[in-house]
Amino acid sequence: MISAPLPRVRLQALGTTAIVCVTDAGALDGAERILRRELDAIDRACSRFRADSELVALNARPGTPVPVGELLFEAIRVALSGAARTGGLVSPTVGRALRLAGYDRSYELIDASADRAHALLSPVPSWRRVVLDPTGRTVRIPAGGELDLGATAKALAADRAAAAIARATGSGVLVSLGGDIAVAGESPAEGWPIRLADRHDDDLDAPGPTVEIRSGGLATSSVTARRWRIGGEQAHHIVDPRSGRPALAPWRTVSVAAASCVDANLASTAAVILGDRAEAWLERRRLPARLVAQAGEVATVGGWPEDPR
Amino acid sequence: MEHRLPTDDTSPEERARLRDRAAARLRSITRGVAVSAVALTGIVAALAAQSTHSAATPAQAPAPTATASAESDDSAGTPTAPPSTSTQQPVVASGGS
Repeated sequence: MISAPLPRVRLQALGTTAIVCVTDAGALDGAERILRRELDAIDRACSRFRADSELVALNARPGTPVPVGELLFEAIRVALSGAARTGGLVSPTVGRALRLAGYDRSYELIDASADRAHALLSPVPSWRRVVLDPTGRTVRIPAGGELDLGATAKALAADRAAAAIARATGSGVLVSLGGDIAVAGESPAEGWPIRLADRHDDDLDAPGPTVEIRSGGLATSSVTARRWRIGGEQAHHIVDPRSGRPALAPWRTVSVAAASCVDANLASTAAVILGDRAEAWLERRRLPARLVAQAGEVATVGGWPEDPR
Repeated sequence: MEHRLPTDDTSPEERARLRDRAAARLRSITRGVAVSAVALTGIVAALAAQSTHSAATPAQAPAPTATASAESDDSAGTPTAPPSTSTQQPVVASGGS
C-alpha cells in the first residue's frame, strides 16, 4: 500500500540531525515547538562542550556535592541506572577518558583527517562513585572524574520530546535524534517505517532493510561515525570503561529495539563494547537486535527479522 | 573472692597455692583483654566499612523516571514486540551519528 508521506520537520541540534514526524498534520507546528524546547533544555543541562552548561560546571568541581537542576539530575540518574543495568559497560564516568582520547570539543570542530601524535590514557572511575542526593538535589563526582552523558542524554531527550508531544497534541509522533528514535501516541496503521543504514543521515533509499515499530524506541550505535586519528590509528567515541580506550568493535553498527530510546541506546552501545559476546548478551535480555560486522555480515537476535534477500 | 598475699608465716604449700591462683587469675584477665580487643577490632572494622560504603555508593539507587523502561536492574527494557519487516517508504534512517 502506498500512503501519503507523513508530515515531518528536520532541524540541526545537539551536533546532529533532529527529525519530528507526526500522524496528524495539524500537530506539526506544536510538535516542532516542543522538540526545540526539549533540545534546548537538554543542551543547556547536559552538553560537555558548552561553557555555560550545567554539566561543565559540575565537571569543574569533582569531589564536592554540587546542586544541579532537575533535568541534569534526572539525566545523571538515568545514566547511572544504565550503568547498573549494563554491568558498568555504559558508564557516564568516561568523560575524562573521552576528552584525553581526543574528543575534547563538539565533533564538528574536530579535524577528523588530522593525526594526533598520541592519546593520553585515563582510568575510568566506577559509576558507583558518583553520589546523587535527591534531598538537596546534589551530585558529587569522584575526584579526577568527569561525566559524559553522550550515551544516554540524546536518547533521553528523544523519549522526553516524543512523550511530551503526544501528550500535548494527541498525535502519534516519532522523534529521531541522530538516528536514535522514540515513538509515542498512536502509531500509523502499519507502524513507523525506519531504514537501517550505516549512518543516520544516509539517503532514505540507501542500501539496507526497512523495519517498522509501533512503540518504544530504536537506536543504532556505530563506530563508523565520530572518528578521528591518533598515532596512526582510528579512534571513535565509544569508550570501553574497562580499558579507558575506544572499544575494539567487531561491529560496524548495532541496532536495538527496546521499550524506550534510552533502553535501546544503552543496549546498542553495550553491544558494541561487548564485541563477540554481544549476541548472547542481547539474546539473554530478549532484546531484538541487528548487528552488522565490519565486513558486512549481518546477524539478528531476539526476534529481529532477517534482512530481505 | 580471696586476695591474700603470702606472709612470713605462710607455709610453702600455701605459697604454691596462692601463686597458682594468681597465675590463673592473670591468665583469665589476659583472655578477657584479648577477647575485648577482638570485639573492638570488629566494631571498628564494621564502622569503617559503613563509612566507606556511604562515601562510595550513590545516596539513592539510580532509577530512570522519564523513560518507559522498567526501573529494575533486572529489566533490559524489552519491547512489547520486535520490529517487523516493512515495505513502506521509510520516514527516517537509523545509523551511526
